[in-house]
Amino acid sequence: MSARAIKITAGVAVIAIAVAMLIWVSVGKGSVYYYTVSELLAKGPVQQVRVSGELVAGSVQGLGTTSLKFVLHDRDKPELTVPVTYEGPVPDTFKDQPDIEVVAEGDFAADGLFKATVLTPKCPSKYEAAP
Amino acid sequence: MNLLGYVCLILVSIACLGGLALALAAIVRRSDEAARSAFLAVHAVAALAVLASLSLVVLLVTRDFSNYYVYSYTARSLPFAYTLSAFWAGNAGSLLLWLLLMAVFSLVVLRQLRREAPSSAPHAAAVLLAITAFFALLMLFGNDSNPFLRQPGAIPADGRGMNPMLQHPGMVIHPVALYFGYVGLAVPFAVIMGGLLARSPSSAWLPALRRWSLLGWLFLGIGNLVGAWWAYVTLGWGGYWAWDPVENASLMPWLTATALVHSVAMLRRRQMFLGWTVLLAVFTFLLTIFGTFLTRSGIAASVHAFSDNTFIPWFTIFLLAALLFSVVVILYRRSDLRSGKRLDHLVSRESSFLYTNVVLLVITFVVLWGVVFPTVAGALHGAEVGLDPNFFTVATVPLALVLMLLIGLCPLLPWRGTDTPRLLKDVAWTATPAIVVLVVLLAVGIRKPYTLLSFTLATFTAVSVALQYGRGWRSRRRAAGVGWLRAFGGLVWNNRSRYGGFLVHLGVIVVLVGITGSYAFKQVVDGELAQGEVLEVGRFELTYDGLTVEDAPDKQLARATFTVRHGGQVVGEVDPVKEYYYASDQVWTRVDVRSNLAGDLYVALLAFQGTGESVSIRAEINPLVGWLWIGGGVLVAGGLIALWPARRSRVRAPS
Repeated sequence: MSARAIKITAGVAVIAIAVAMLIWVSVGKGSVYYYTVSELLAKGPVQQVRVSGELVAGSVQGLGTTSLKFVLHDRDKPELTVPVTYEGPVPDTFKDQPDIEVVAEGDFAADGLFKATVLTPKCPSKYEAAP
Repeated sequence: MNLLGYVCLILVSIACLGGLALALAAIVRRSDEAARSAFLAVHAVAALAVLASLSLVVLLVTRDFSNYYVYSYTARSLPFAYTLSAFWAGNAGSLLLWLLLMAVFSLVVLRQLRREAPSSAPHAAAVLLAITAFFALLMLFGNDSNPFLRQPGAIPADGRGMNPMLQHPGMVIHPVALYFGYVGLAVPFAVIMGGLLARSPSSAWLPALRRWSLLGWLFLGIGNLVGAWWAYVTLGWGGYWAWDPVENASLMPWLTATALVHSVAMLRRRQMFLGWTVLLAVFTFLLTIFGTFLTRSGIAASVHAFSDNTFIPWFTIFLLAALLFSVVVILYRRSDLRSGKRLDHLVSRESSFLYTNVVLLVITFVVLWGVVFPTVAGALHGAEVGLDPNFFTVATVPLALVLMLLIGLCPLLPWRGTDTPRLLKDVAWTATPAIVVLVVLLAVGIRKPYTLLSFTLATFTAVSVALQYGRGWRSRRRAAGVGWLRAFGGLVWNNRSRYGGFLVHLGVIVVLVGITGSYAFKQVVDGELAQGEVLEVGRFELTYDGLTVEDAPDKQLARATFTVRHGGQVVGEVDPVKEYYYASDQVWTRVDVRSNLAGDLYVALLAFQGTGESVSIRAEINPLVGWLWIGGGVLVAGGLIALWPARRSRVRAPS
């Protein structure tokens, strides 16, 4: 190998290692586990996770305020449910409609209550006209 | 009109495929006649795309609800401007805009190539027509991608109207600018692939390459900035960037396009970086397609719109085909890609361009990793792992700081090698004010290392840019013997790419200062207030005065009024609004923002009880956020200066 090729290889290797370390550290600080309702129930109490499920129609209490209570059910096994509480600004797209998919981020306590700190209604047509 | 538009779409597809066949024939048989026919087809494609677009415009402004697209996105009560912008409010219409831009841009660039690099024009035409054909066929055969479908059943009396969040000037500009950027960046790809295939000398197609790389880069930047501004003033969470997959999708090609613009500059001035230029043009194009794919397929968990999973196979095939084509062309012409010149020195102007390219590519890679990681991790572990914005900030902030340093250092380095004494002198000049800023910041009690570094490096870079301007200005005044003002104008005007570029650098730095300030010193206070009660946020006190409910034909507005005091003095009023739209059963929280150069007071009405006995609000102080938009304006101005076309006979001043 020529001296130039060695230099280039060394440079690329250094950059690759640095990037790998950067990503390693960042993934550690930024990853959040993503569960469905049934996976969350199987897992038991856990902190700082996301749970996604569908809204049980009519279960929402406190709409129009900043503290919500509602129930999510599993998409595939609707008999599995988890009650959720949330304090904070309610996204404009959060509505008490059946089958709206909701992602809540927060802690799942031993008493079976999910305390959410972030609430994201996943409306597939958020910026499109209402169906 | 429905029929006319539909027929135009079919004819566009036929003209694209016919033109593609003719262009290929022109390449294989080296027939000039076939090439001329292929260019006729390009003209036909452009004319038909314009006609199709005009049909949609007529359908929209006449509010012809027999058209399903018009019915879906407009209503009789919708203002005229938003009735026009409904053109790109939905999936099908935005694809038509894409097709229109692709057809018109192809025509413009091919006319330039016919003049300046005729041997590569048929090759570039083939690439452009293939891309246009993909979009035309997608519109015809995709699900929900044709804006000329008739309303099934009876013609309704009124349309469904536009989502209130789209009824905003930002959403009129943002998509158009993004599409200009996305489509504009397909052109450098076609130009360079055409040049390589035809073995046309790079000097012939370089002007076209430079113009379109800059144009695409500039518009993509405008699109991202306007999108951030729109999110800030309409979404009500006080931020402007959420590292959402769809936002990342348009950031990544902008980063590689930035590197592309720099590589093109090196190719132009020093005949170096040909390999980089080719690679970056390919990456950028592939990322624009990948971004479109992400946005429209709904494959990534995003709050953004346009999910149509029938697009997945279309885009997968197109992306793979484009990748395969690029790899084959690069391998086929790899011997042409070795530019004779090598870097003379590890610390020189040339090498600083190389480092900039590397850092930009690394940032792109990190963001790409963040976008695809959840899917990859899901496949590997079973349980899905998501990445929150923390990942992106932890990973990109150090890289952005390195970039800031490079922006400041680069113009201080001489071409080809290092003149160490002069470099040290210049660094001393530029580093001194930066150190003064650092000391001041430490004295006022700021201790966050990234914040300190960011402001220090910003000062260093701003001084370094000012030094370039100052030196050029002084020597121009001496050389030309004219007044200060004329010397400055002449300096910038005669070296537009150089001084436009410096202005862009300054804009980037100002943007980064705005981002740093609004992240590092953000304050958020939530509160529930009864009438007359006070909420303190930062240096302001907000007193809740009352709530008024207004009725409009299509909506109800609840407006809460607050008096803003600063140290006991009344400084103004804020009145955030919550709107309820009857037709769409949608709520829109319209924030109120009081801006000045120091920062924004940002107030959102979260909820109200009864007729307004008490309200819940979120009040935020977002320091320096206004600099983000100012810096964006500077960046755009610099880009326009660099892009301004040269007169045919131009005198180049020594730089």
